[in-house]
Amino acid sequence: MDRPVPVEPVAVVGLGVVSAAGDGSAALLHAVRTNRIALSECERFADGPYMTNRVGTVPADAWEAVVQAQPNRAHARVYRLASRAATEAMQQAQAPLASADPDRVGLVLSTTKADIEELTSCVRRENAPSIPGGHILSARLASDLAVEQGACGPIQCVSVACISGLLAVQQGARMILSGAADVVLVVGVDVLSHFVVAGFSTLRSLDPLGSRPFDKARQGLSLGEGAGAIVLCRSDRAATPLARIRGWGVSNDANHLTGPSRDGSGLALAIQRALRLSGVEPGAMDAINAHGTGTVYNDRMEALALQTVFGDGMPPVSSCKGMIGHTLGAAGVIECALCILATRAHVMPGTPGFTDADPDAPAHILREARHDTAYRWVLKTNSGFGGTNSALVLDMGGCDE
Amino acid sequence: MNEVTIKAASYLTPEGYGSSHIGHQAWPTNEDGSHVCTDPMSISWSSLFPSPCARLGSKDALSRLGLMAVELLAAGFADMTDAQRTEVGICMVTPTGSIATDIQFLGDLSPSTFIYTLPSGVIGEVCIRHGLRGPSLCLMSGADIGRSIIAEAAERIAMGEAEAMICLACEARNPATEDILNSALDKDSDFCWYVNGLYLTGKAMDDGTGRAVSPHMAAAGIRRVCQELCERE
Repeated sequence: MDRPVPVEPVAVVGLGVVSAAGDGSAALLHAVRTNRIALSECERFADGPYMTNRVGTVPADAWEAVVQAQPNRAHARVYRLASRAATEAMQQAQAPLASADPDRVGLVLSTTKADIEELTSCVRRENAPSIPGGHILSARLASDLAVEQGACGPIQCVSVACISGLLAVQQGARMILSGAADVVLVVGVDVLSHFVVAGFSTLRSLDPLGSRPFDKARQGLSLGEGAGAIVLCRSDRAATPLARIRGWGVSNDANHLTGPSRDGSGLALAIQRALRLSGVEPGAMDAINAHGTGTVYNDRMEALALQTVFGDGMPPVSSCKGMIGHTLGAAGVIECALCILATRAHVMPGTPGFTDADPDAPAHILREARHDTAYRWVLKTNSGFGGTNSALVLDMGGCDE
Repeated sequence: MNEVTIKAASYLTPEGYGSSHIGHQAWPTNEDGSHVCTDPMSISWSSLFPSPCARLGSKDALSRLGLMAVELLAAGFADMTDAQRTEVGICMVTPTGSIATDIQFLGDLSPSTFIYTLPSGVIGEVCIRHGLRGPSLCLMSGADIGRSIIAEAAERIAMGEAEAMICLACEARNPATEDILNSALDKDSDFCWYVNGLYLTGKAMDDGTGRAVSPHMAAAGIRRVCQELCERE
């Protein structure tokens, strides 16, 4: 196959996050610095068909701040979280937004289940006549967020399992590069719900003790909720970008609907595609933020994929799923934001929950966060149901705080 | 865009099915004399295709439709090697996605139902059946309010990210979904279920057949392009 057309870098100019770590990007960065496990026992899931109620829920004080900022009771939790993260990111991006035509400000939403709680309540009321917010439909959630944030340009809503967030960031960058938009707000959101916690419980894929990525005693993942937002624009519009997106890759295992490939070849393919598109050699990569769910098979698959691509030159690897849980459709966006926040603050994230390395784990797992100044290229990966894999290359050169 | 060619088109609707290779076929006559198929789960795979589909009974309606539409396109890539299939991806759009299966899961809490509560399960099923390992995308949309799914697929070929792409527009609502969603439904559609498929290739796989993707075509909805191609050829 011909070498792909290299992509122009796309600038990141705004970030916003609400997660189990708290309200705002600063709360997430603080949790990264301290390697804090923000999982907790949630009363909502104490009784019912659930394997565990240990999840990454947005804490009460953070939720209170979200409600204060978005007091409209007609809006459900999923909308309020997305709105809060989007608003934080758009405020940070004021300079490039000031000169942008609203018709050329796009929005890409990533979610796997949108307002699944609304669907659940409709079904339990036995065929309610109408939907109050209509945010069961992701596209409607995206449209309403776009109106609220003044994004009158193109809108997309991505749903590809757990790689949705990374794909949404890529779609945002594509919108910029294709000239469809000058500025794009990318939002990833998913909430904890009866539906999702019961679903993963039926698959027996949750760890009652909390996610422990790459640990030899790991038993499964921890679910989380939250929203992440990233504002993108053309590099020449950003005087002081927070980061630059340099390339991406997507692949499919073509192997199994829910189980990861046993040889890691699908994820390796996605990483190789991302490196090729960004023109970065494997040896140049400074850090990897892995999907790292804490399930036995996912982490083993990832280790094999990383070994295939990086061999003996493995850069430090981290995962934040043990900190805030797996936020599904929000994961890729929140985790990209985490990488950018940490790198700008000269922090290399650790892997909360990780204690003793599995013999199959990647060679260089970071247990604790560490200070690091020489730090430019970051690889972010995610994988998901349907055999999907994605990788994104971030260029942090010259983007220090 | 002129380096990307549409090699084949296919569709299944309550009115019938067809492709750019076989033309339109009506469903068998019902007892009331009509040819309308109201339930995609009732379509018999073996009556349409000679090669069997493993574990079809366990799959949801959305996945079945996606698999059938791609099977109708499959003549276009039957001779492809495994290496070539690694460079073939899928772009899909669906208005309500897996909501019918979501409702089913709320009733049965079965793990075998839960795994189909993501619309992108269709992409996984098609990739497994045909060994496709290229880039994939699933957009939730009633209409193309961002860029058309054809433009998304063509861009991946033009940028060298894939050598060929499959485009799918897929919807599998049922009466329960209609009742629940009611006013929130995409009323642009006359059908509660449909699937449209396109097979696009780049220079490397172009044998001179098919139709070049024009900017007009790239901006159009997949259903209109499918209709045009299946009527013409």
